Amino acid sequence: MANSMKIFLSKYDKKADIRTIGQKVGFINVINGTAAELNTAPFTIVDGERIYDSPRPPEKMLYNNEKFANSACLLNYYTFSDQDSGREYSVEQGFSSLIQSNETSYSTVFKQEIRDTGTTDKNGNAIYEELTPLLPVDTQVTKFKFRDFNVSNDRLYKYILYPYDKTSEQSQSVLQRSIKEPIAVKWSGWSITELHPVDGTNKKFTATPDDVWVFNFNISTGEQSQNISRQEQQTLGQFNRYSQGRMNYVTGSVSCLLGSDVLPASYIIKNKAEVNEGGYQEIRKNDKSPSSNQRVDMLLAWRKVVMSSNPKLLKDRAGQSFLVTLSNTTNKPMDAVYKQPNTISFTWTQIGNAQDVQIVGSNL
Amino acid sequence: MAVYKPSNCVPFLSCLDLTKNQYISCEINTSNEIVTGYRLKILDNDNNVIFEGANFSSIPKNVQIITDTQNYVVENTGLNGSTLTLPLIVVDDAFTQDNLIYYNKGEWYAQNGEKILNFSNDNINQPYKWQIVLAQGELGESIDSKYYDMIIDEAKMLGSTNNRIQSYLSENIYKDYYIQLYEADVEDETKIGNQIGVRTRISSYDYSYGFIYPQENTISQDSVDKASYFKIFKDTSDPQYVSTARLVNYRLQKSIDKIELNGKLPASGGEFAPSKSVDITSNPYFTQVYEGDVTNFITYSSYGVTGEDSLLAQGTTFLLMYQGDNNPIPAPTYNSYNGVFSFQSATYNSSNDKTTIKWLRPANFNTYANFLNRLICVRSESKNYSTSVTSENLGTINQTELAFYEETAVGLYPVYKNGTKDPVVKKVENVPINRIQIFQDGIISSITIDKQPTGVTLTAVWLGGNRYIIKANRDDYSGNTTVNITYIEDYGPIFKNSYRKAYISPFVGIHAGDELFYGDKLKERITIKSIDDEANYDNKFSPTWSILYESDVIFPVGTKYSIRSFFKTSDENPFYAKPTPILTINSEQWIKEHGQYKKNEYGYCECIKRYITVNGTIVNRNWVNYQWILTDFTAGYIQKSDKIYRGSTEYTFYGLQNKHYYELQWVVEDEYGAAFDFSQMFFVNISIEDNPFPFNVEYECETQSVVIDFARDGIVIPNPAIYSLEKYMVKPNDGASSDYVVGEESKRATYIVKEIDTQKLNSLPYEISYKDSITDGYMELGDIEETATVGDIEYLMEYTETQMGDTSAERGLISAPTTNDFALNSQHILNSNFIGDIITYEIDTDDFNGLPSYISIAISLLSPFKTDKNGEIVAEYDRNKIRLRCFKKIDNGLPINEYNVFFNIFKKEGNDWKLVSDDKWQPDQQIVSSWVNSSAGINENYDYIFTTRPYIYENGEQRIGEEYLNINGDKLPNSSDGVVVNQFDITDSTTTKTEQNVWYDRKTELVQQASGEDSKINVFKAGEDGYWNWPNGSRDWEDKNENGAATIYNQVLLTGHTGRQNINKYKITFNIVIKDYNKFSATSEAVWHENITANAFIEEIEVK
Repeated sequence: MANSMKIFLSKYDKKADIRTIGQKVGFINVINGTAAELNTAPFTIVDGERIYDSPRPPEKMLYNNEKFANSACLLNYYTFSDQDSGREYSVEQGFSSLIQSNETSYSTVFKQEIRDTGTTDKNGNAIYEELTPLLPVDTQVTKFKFRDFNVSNDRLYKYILYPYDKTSEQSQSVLQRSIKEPIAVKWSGWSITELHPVDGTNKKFTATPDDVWVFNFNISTGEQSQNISRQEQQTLGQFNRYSQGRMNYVTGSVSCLLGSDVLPASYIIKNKAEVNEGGYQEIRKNDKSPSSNQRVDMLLAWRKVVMSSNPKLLKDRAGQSFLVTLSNTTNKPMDAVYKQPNTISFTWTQIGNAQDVQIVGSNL
Repeated sequence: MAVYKPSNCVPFLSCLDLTKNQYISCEINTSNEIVTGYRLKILDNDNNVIFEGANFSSIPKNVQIITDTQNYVVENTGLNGSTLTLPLIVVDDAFTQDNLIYYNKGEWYAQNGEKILNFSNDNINQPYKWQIVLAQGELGESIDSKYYDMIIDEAKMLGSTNNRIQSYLSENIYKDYYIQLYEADVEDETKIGNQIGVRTRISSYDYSYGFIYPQENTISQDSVDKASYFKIFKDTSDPQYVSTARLVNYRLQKSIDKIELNGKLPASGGEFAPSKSVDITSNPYFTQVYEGDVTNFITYSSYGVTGEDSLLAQGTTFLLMYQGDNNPIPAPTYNSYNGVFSFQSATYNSSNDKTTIKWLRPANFNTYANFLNRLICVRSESKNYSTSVTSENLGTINQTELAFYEETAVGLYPVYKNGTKDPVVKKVENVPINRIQIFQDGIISSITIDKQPTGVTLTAVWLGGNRYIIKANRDDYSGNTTVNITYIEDYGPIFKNSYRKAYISPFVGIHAGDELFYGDKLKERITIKSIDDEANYDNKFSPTWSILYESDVIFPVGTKYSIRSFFKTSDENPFYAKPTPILTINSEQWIKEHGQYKKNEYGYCECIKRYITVNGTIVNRNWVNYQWILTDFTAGYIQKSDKIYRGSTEYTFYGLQNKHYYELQWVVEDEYGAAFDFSQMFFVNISIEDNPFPFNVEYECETQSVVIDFARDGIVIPNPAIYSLEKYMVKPNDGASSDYVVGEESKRATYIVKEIDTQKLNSLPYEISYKDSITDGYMELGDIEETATVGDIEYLMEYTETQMGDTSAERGLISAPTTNDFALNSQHILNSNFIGDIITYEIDTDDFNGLPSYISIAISLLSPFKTDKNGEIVAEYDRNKIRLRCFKKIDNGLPINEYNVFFNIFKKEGNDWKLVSDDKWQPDQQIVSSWVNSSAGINENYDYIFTTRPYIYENGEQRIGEEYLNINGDKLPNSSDGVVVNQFDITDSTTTKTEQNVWYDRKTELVQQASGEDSKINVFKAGEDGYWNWPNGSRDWEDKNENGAATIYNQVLLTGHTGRQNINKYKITFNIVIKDYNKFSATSEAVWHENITANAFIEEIEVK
């Protein structure tokens, strides 16, 4: 996903010193959408020739256009002021949706686990009790839209945003804050998210939707073991004595179907044949380079995840989450079923606590 | 009853501040008898005793522990398993107690006020070691025997016997050497006196304790009792045990040529000498010639053997060791004819009345090497003699001098400076060159020249034993020198039990103060005052295991004893001494006042941020690990850092809550394993304003994550801008803001917005102006003025940043499209003759292998001409098309995966837009040179383009005239044949031209470029002389007439008629559609053509 964009007008060729590069610019509009609706010269191909259907030049998208939010950048060269939206542009300014800062100013987002007290304030708003300190979601936010992967099931969260803090001029000024609560988190499967360390620390990780493996079907959860180091010393007395180290981690195993989606049955024409596209799917939704056999793609991708030395975030149905590494993975296709769904099983070993780490991703 | 070694002694390898009260503790181990007393000892790293309690002290029942942070009392029971805590250092000036160190005003004192030296923080001889002696029983003058119940050792007394000689350990005594006993000197008992008995072979030697075991029962006990000293020799001197190989019958001390036979000395010329040249044979006879017949006078007595008047028997061997008359010892020269000779014969020759005596070196002594490390035993004297031959000093027999001297004993003990282990260096002055020297003080272990004289190199050669010689590398050098000699004593004392001194069986663990029980039923006892169990100067750095005691008893060898104690000494417990560490915590987020942290009345700092970055410093110690702990007192939460072992001490806690009170604690472990902590309280005081900032948080089931979105509007800032950045600040609409200055009169750009600040420019080399209109507003960028300096301008306008907050520092970037498909729409009216890129978009893509990358999409109007592959300028074929150029760029690399496509051109016809089939926004016209006849008019149907070659009109078509070259210059052409100028040293036979300012070409031709006659111009024609460009400078042009006169005209350059002059008559609206951007931009091999549609809509407009 592209992050930012630059626009330049009238390039000066220093070597040739060509100075006849002046121009009038009526507008510059960069607009989001679909290719079909954005192409102002649509055509169909008939007998190998393009037949254009009412081609017309694109029009300037005005600042008050209802599709305004669809535009990435509008430079329209007229003065605009709208009190309702608070938008105000001089003739030489334009609009751009701000999705990130220029990396010299940071925003900060925290979350806090909360509990509904069952009471309301005088305005009728529910009152929530704060259960944890403010846990940093990301302390150096430059992208204004991102994901927080470090949540666990069956919990209520409160998110607090401090926009553009840490700028040098703001040391003593009033802090802006925006709060969103409650955010309820609820799911019914397991998931594994591959984490990519940032700056070599083990405190901050990034992940993308493609790193998330959700397991919904045929889940069979194995025994979870708590591993500690406690030595027994036999004494001359009646009772033994024990000494113990700091070791304390959990291991477990899961067995489930590899795919996580079952689509309603639908028949479509593919290569002039009717194909059933519905049912159980083993497809990576965000696969950037799929082959013609996406089931195998998914299986290979899963093996790649297992092989990767990156830590994984394991989230279970109960609301536990761990940083884990995976081992002892197997997959077993169901031979008697048409699509031969793969049942995978793996064991996991906790290698860290998810509580103290930041796991975010800006690839939406 | 018994006290055992205490365990768990503290401090152990930890660090104490000696300027503060310090305590020691240990766990008592006894057989349940109460421990009652203790004594302390402190040693430094070199085992020097720094402090030792003079006597046992009673164990105090209660000890009050007073430190900077604690004050409490501990109880000492003295019982088995209990912990004994005792004061080690007190800050006091009482100086009253034993076994306690007093610190007062920078000094440390013992009980009687005596200063304790070399005891301080940071002293170099660290670690110190403390040792405690624990005792039982009633402490006092005499302790009852029953308390001496800890048996340390039971053994028999040692001491020298006839079968074991005890002395100091020597590294130089070996089995099969010989020991010789001596009595003490009668006048001075410390000196060695007469020899006792004979040499005895050593059957073994104990390298642990220095016990010499002679061959059993070969020395009598009487001899041992009588002897006080011994020496060690390498071999026996008793002829009956000496091998014949080193046995010689007699020794001749004087020169053999001084032997008088029948009152005569050898005849002149008949002196002792080899019979042949020593070069010819290795073992020649030596002869002496005497006058007359002396054969009957060659008797033993003549050769110094007293009482033997018989004739010398053949084969009788003599050691010749004459070393010169004029050089009495200790400075003799010596002789190469020395050595061992056997008498061969004496023959009288009556013809000349002379007797010749023959000598021969016997086979076992006839090479120089035979003498190496060999003692020669003279049977008649029962003495051994050493030679000067050493491995450093080898030579050739009969050529190299040989010296002999009475053997010396083996060096046993290196001589050290008093109290140290540094060897004594004896300086011997005025040592002559090339003469054997005897060192009087002992056996030489090393010898060096003190100072080398100028011009000569002296070498000191050790000849064995106490002999040495100085040699020079120049024969003529005869000065004296000074040598430095380290040496070894060659005799040792014989240890015997004596009055108040006895030698016990070696045993580690015996201490002064232990009692030695002996006699019948071990009823008798003596107190051990000291024991020689540690290496030191006095015992020649090897314990002798002697004890001293105060009693008249002399212990016979073999006396059974039992050593016992009523106390036990601990191990040595090392500890370091350094000042107490000082910990401090700093944070930028605490408010400061006058350089100090501002604190409220309760000592709380004030934090003005939602986070706190702290760092700690520790003085007087090095940290090994640390941990930060933040306790929220208000809410009761605790946050901890990990235990951190490396890096800086900085740590940041996020999520501080307003009006909460916190304690920040820094726990540090130092290199000695001690933990220190320091804490600081603070409260958070921030002004927080909750506002309806656009902030959306949604749970996303598909990825089990929470999507946080607070994207908002940004204002795109132009660069250059008409106004300074401050003018863009979005101010509250309070009606009072005078910052809105949009619409000021001057449209001239006066500011350029840089990355972080606003830089004012004096002027730009082009105009920027705006027309503010919702329907037909525009921005106008002027051409760059011809005379202006352009500087580092790359584009006339850049849009790269957005303004997003109230301060200039809060900037964002222009958001790239957020969908996979997007359109780049823009509308332009280009200036006449516009050339180059109209608009360029740079859109980020995903990082490629961790490097930033972007895709560049540029719309450009190509130049009307171009340089072809031959380097010649030709008209651009696609000059009337509009090009879209795309490429990917990774970091600062070169453009990759470039893709060029021409826009689909749509032109308005009535109300409809029609596709132009050839993608040209205007039809191509005929091409003519931009250098034209000045008198010709401008034909609007021609494109006047600067080209290298003329276009030739033939058969109704234009082609490039490969055989011609355009005359690209503006002087008057001239076809006169009169003037020839030799600009380039071209020889011309026709005439001599003198005018310098004329240039001519050889061949020109009139060609028609296009369909009209008005397109005819003069061009150069290819020929043997080739083509020449119009020369620089002021030159006239003249055609030579022999090729036919060309049309003469004045040529000028026509600009602004390249066909592009009409571009300003069109409004161009671009519609670029990018499809599936994420996918096609993800690889370095983007598939452009499937994903980009480029449409241009051309509309004719009225030019005002």
